Amino acid sequence: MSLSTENKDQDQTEQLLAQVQAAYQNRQPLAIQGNGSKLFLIRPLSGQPLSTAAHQGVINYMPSELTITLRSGTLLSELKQVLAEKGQMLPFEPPAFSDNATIGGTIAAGLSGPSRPFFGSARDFVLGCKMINGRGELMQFGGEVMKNVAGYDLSRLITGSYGSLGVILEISLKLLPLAPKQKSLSFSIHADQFARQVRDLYMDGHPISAACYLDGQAYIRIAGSQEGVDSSFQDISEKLTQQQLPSKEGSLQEVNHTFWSELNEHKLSFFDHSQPLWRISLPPWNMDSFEQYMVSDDRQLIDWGGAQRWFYSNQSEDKVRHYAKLQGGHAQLFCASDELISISRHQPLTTQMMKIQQQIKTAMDPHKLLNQGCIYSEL
Amino acid sequence: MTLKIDDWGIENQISKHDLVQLFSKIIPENSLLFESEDLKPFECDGLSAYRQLPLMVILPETIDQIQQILRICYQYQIAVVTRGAGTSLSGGALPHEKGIVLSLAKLNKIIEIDRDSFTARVQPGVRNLAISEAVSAYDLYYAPDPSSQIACSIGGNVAENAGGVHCLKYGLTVHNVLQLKIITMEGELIEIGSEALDSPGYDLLALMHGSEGMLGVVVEVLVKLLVKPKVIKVLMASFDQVTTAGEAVSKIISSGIIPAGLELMDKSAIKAAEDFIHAGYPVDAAAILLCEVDGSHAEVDAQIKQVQTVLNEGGATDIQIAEDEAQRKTFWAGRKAAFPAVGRLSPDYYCMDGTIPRFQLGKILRRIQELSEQYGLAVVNVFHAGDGNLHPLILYDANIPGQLDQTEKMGGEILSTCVELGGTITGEHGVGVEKLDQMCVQFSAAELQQFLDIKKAFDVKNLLNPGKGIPLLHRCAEFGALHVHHGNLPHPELERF
Repeated sequence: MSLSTENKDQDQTEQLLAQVQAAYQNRQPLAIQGNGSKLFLIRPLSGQPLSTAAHQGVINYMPSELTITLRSGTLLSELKQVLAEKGQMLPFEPPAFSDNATIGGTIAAGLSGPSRPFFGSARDFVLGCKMINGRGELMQFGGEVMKNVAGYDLSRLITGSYGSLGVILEISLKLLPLAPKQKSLSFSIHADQFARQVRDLYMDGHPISAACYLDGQAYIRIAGSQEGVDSSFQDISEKLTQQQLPSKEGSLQEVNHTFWSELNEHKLSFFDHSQPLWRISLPPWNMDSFEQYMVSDDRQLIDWGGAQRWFYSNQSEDKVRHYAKLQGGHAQLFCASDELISISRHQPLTTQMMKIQQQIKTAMDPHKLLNQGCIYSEL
Repeated sequence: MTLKIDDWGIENQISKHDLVQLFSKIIPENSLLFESEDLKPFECDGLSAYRQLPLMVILPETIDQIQQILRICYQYQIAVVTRGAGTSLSGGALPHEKGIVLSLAKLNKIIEIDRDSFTARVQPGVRNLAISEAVSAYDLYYAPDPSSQIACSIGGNVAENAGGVHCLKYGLTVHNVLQLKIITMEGELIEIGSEALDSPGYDLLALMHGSEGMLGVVVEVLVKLLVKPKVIKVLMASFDQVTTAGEAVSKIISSGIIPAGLELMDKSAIKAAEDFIHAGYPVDAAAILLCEVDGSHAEVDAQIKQVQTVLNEGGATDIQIAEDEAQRKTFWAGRKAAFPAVGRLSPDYYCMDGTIPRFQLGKILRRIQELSEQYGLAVVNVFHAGDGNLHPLILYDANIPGQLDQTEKMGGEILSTCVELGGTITGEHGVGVEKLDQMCVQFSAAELQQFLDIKKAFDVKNLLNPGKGIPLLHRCAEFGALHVHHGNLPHPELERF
C-alpha cells in the first residue's frame, strides 16, 4: 500500500535540531536554506548557515491515499519522478528554477505554476509538516489526511514564509492523479479578449488546466480522460471557428506540452530580459489588457487566465504597485539587478497587518533568529 | 453534564449592570438580551449535551457596532463567544458564563456577486446554501457543502473550516475563500487575504480557517464560486462486507479518478435512512457506496464506465446508476438525512468526527465494533469515505444516568484510535469544548504551547472564545496525556493558568 524509501542516513533531524537549539541558546541568527534555488526571491540572508539539503528521503508515499510525506531536502525533480512512476503529480505545478531545487524550498517559497487557478496553490495541497520553531522545539502539525481541523493550521501558515517561522523538516502533501490525456492548444487573440475567451470556454465545462497569453497568442491546456479531452478539443475548435477566432493567421494549433514547463521555469524567450521582472497577482479572470500601463519596451505575459502577469518594466516601484492595486491585486519584484536589492520585494503591508505579522513571527521565533528580514525587514 | 471548562483566569472588570448600560449606548434595546429567558435559546449549539447561559447576548447589525462592542470587552476583560447559526457539533459556540455571546445572525446580506471573477462578497451570517442559491442563475455555485448547509452560516464555516461531501475534489472552506475582513479583540478592522489569488506576507487566511473564533471576529467573506458541472451522475454500489466497500474506495482513487463525492454507509445507517426517506437503498446490503462524478458529457461517461469496472472487480454485489436528476437527488437524500434518520432510532446520539488514512478503514471499523460491544452502545457508521472522514454515531439515552459519560468515554477511545492509525481527532467539526482532552493525545506540550502563543499574537488577553479549541497544559497533565519531551515543560518561565 505504501512506498517507503526511507534511509536513516538521510535523516538529519537530530543534527538540525541541535543546531537550532544551540542557536537559540546563543541567540545566534540562522540563514536557513535548501540548495538556494529560490534565494533570488528574498532579501539577502545573514546569520550562520543552516542547510536542509542533506535531510532527504521519502518517508511515506501512499498512492492510494493521494498523499506523500518526505524530508525537506528531497529534490523536487526526484519527487516528481517518484510520483510520475505511480501516475501522480503535484497539482500546483511548482517551478524549480534550478535542477537542485528541494521540496523544502518549494514549500518555503510557496510558488505555484500554470495550473494554479484551476487546481489550487502550494498551500492548498499542504496537509502537514514537521518543523523546528525559533525556540529549537521539534513540532508536528496537520497530518497525512485530507481533512484535519485539530489545532491551528500552522502547516499552511509556514508555506510561503521563506523559513522565517520555522525550519521545515518534513512535508505531507496531497497529490492528484496525472490526467490520462492532455492537449495544449494555441490560437490568435488580442490581449483584451484573452481572459474573457478562456473564461467562456471554462464556463462551457472544458477541463482547462492552464491558460496564458503571449504576443497575440492564447495558449490553453486541457486535461482529462481520453474521451473528454478529444471531445473538448473538437468543441473548442468549432466554437472558435464560429466566432471567427482564430483569425486568418492560422487555425487552432496543437502545441508541445513543453511550452508550460518553459513558461513555468522562465525559459521562454519572453523571459530573456534584463529589466526588472514583476509578478503581478490579480483577481481571478482579470480581463484588463494592461496596455494603458505599459510604456516603451515594457513587456507582459498573462498567465493564470488573467490572474497573474509577468511584467518586465523599468517603471518605478510605486507605479507598478499602483497598477496592481488599481486592479485589486499586488506586485512582487521577482527578479532584479543588484542595485534594486534595497527595494522590498513584496507589496508593503498596512501598519495593522504588519503588527499582526510581527506578533506571529514573535510567537514562532521570539528572538528573530530564523531568516530574519527575508520577506520584510520587520519580520 | 460532564463538561470541564478550563479556567483561563478571566476576571470581568465591570458589573453586568454597567456593561448593559455601555452596550445600550451602541445598539438598540431589542438587540441586547440579558434576561435569562431571552438567553435560553443561546445556551447551546448543535452539541446540545453541553449548556451554559452567557452573561448576555448581543446582536449587532454593523461592523462599527462590533468594533465598539469588542473595544468595551477588551477594556473590561469580558470573554466573547462569536456565534453564527449555532450549528457547531463540537460546542464551538457554547457560551462563557461570564462572557457575552456575539451573534452575527443579523449580518446576513450578500453584498456583491461578481460574475466576472466568479466571486461573492457576503456577510458572515449568510447561510451556506443561500450563496449557491443566489448565484445559481449564473451557472455558478459555492462548493463546500456541510450537511448543515441549509442552516449553517459562512462565518461559522470559516471558523470551523467546514467541509462536506464534495471536498475531496473541490476542497474545504479554506480552499474556497479569497479574503476575510476580521475585527480583532482590540476592535481593529483588518483585511486578510485579497481579491487576488495570493497575498503578500504570511498566509493568515489559512490560519484563520478552522481557528474556531479564537483569533478574530469574521465580519465579511469573499468566497470563490465554481462553474456548475455540465453533467453530474451518481452511482450506488452495494457490498456484502463493509470492509470490501472500504477497499473499493481506495481502488477507485488508485484508478486515477477523483469523484466529486464518495460516501459510505453501513448496514444500520442504510436501514435508518431507508426507513426514514425511502431512497431505494438496499436494506440487505452490509454497506453501500455513493459515488458521484461530474464534468463534461464525455468526461462523465468515461468516468462512470471506469468506476463501474473498478467496483465490479472490487466485489460490489450490485450497482445502480441514478437514471435522472430526480433519482440522483433521492440517492443523496438518504445520505443527507442519515443523521435525523438515526435520531429516530435512539433518544440521543453522539456524532464523532475522526479522520484516518483510507487504507485503515478496516481497522477502525473493527475497533469501533469492539468498543460498541464493550460499552454496550450501538454505533451507526456514515463516512465521507473519499477523504477518510468518519462520522460514527453512538446511540445513547441521556435519561439513563451515566450513559452520556460512557458515550463520551467510548467516543474518546475511537478518536485516540484514529490518532494511532495515523489520523486526526477532528476532520471537520472542530475541537470546540468537546475534544479538548483528545488534543492532549494528538499534540505535545510544545505544540499546544505554540498554539497558545499564536492565539496571544491576535488576542493578548485571551478573551476570544476562551476554553475552546486548545486545552491549557495543566488540563492535559490532569488528563494524563501531556506529552512532555525530555521531562521538561516548554517555557517553564511562563505562568500557567
